Amino acid sequence: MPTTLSLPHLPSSYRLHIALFTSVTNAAHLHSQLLAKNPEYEYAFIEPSILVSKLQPISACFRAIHDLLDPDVGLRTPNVHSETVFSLSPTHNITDSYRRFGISPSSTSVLAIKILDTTLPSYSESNTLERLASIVEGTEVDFDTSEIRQLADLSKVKKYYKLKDMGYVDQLYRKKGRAVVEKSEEEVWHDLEVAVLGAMALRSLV
Amino acid sequence: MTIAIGLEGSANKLGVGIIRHTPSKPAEVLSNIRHTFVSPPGEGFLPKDTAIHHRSWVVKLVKQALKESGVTVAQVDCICYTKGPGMGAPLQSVAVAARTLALLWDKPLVGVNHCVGHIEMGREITGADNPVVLYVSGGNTQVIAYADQRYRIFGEALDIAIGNCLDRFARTLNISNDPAPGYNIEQMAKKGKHLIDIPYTVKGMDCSFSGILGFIDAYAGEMLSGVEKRDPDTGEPITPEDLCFSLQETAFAMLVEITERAMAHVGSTQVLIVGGVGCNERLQEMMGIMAGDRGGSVYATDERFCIDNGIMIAHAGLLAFQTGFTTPIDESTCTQRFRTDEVFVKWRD
Amino acid sequence: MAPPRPIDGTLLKQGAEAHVYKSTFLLPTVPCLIKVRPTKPYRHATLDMRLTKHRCVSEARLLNRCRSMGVLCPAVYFVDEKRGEIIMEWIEGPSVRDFLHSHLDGASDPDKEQNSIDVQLDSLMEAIGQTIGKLHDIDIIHGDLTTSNIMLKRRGNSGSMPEAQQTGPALAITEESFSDFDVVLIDFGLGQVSNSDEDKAVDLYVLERAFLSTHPRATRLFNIILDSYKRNCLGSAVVLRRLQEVRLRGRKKSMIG
Repeated sequence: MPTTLSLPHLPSSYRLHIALFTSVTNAAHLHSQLLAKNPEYEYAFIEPSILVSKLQPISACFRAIHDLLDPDVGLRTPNVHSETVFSLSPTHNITDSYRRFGISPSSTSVLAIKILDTTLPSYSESNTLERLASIVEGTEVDFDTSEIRQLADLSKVKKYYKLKDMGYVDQLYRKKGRAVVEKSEEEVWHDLEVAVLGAMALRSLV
Repeated sequence: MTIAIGLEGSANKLGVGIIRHTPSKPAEVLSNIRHTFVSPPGEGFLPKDTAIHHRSWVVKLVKQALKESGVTVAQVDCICYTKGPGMGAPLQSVAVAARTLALLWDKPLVGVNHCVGHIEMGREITGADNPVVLYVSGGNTQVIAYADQRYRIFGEALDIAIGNCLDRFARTLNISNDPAPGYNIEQMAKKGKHLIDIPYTVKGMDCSFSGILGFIDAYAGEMLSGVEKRDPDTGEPITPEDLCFSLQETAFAMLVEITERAMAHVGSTQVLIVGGVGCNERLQEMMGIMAGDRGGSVYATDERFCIDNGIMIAHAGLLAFQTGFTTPIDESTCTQRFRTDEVFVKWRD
Repeated sequence: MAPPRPIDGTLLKQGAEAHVYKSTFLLPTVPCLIKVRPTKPYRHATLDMRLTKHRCVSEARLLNRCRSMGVLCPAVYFVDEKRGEIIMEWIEGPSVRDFLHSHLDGASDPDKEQNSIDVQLDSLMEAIGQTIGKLHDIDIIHGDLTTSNIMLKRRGNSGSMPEAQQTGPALAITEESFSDFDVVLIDFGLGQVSNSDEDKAVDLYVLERAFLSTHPRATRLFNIILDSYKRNCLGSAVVLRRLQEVRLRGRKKSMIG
């Protein structure tokens, strides 16, 4: 079942519909339709291996809708969905952001997000959900953090978000022979999650 | 009813004042006169020359103060003098004068902390009951609040005082020291309109002015050597007036900020500005806006009380005298270093 | 500067520099803190805009750097520098200031033998010294180290959000559970990146004055912090020497009236 959300601090009429798929077979087709700018395929199709938690893509949606609605900012890409993919990036390079955080023709899993203004007369929740469930050919799984973690490629995440300094002080102390408190697996994931959210949040300041 | 005469000479002003305290009545200023040692433009006042000035004027000022007050020597209860902090030689010359009067008239001496003098006079004149105090002068920049019988320093300038920063900048620009360099900067600042980017250094409740002085001195130096500076937005040339304006806007914003932090810290809405720089109307205005936003108000005095004077020494000295405090002749020294929080404030709850 | 907008949250504090709200970020289960720097009408508009934006950006960067390099502070969730807003991680727990007041006010006679609370307080001070040592070892200067800006966070809610995030009222710290808390630094609005010993020494000097004005019994506690800093921070020796000079300068400053 897709997840439907509206976000605090944004107009409640903006709704996110999110679905996560594995064993995807039509990534090449989806990718070609994005390149062709086919309006039927205006979704944020995200490569799940660069995700570490469910907050990460939701935060990108927040940034995209926020910038869309802020007259002082505005979108830097064609629409709120491409802006969502761009908003996952810690840098201002739009082309790179599509390549790194959007799907590729060879993606085997896909996170699909549709953002809609429910006050528009064309809005229909059931149509949206139906289309979201069928546009990606694959196995829909729960959109939650434990599924996302299984799909994550941590070396890619660390490279794209430039996290080589993570835990620097512990590394430094270890090198000097100091005792360092080991972190639990959960703490390590949490540190990674907030580091990624922070890198995304600071993009506007780069 | 008690009467005190106060002698102040910790810097380049020699002041003599006479005050009368009557129970449950406001203090009465019977006389308050001052003579300032003014150095030529581009020069500061040197301790030796300042001491000579004080020695040569003190007798005249004491006589004049007595005459103006209509008080006879017999009516005076005690002789108050500035024990410190301040410049050594000028402090000594005034301490010698006070000691001489004490022996001559056979009156008790009261040594007074200069900063406490400013605070007590400010409270008396403005009626501010328990304010956060910003003490800003040539030698001091302190944010002070009263607690447990001491005036505690919450924040201060970590290097040079604001007044010193202004005075030295005036010297760079060859601004006149008459009547005071800070006064002339204030007048010039009123004609400035371009704000140049100056380092802004606040650390907690402390601040620093040496970076500002270094920057603006260098900037003014370039201007004086013929380098033309222009405002990036309007393309208009930067004038010395703009420099004065930018210096005041930046430095005073720092002072208001640290004062506001102290007010938030102690939960006070009143602020009292004392010390020579406290005369500056732009500083008073900025402080007033800040205090207004916090639901309070600013208290400030005019140049009679802001600038170093004898009456504040008489007033604070008399407060201490009334609690039984006197300074024996053989302990009637003065000291360059005398922190505000060293004084036990017995006269307040 | 963009105009302010209403914040959807509970106003917690209208401080000297910022207004602080409690709210949620993205999901109702993720509590957050929103820090807004209002314009200060007393200062020149250009200067005000410059300072507000600079502090917002600088604080967000420092928080991110600090957290990611391994010193606990609130994580940054979202920044709107044009409005001077930062949305950050909610830290559940008391400030050291509140904590000291609740534990030292009316506490046992300082001359008596140390009781168990004192021993645990000592370990807390030890942790504070260690945290500041780490901060300085990654060349971050806090700029406003006061007892209000050091918080104690209940451990165990650091799992991935939102599943493991716990909300709810702050629990009072009982004497047997001191070790369940992490030291978290907040409010980096006056911070900077610097490897200068002078800057680090001034950081400690600010903390020293804040500590001594927080509580009469805090002198002994502050010495434990310094001692822990000395043992833990790699660059502590030079910084502590410098601290002596900064203190001396502080006392000398009232030289001229």
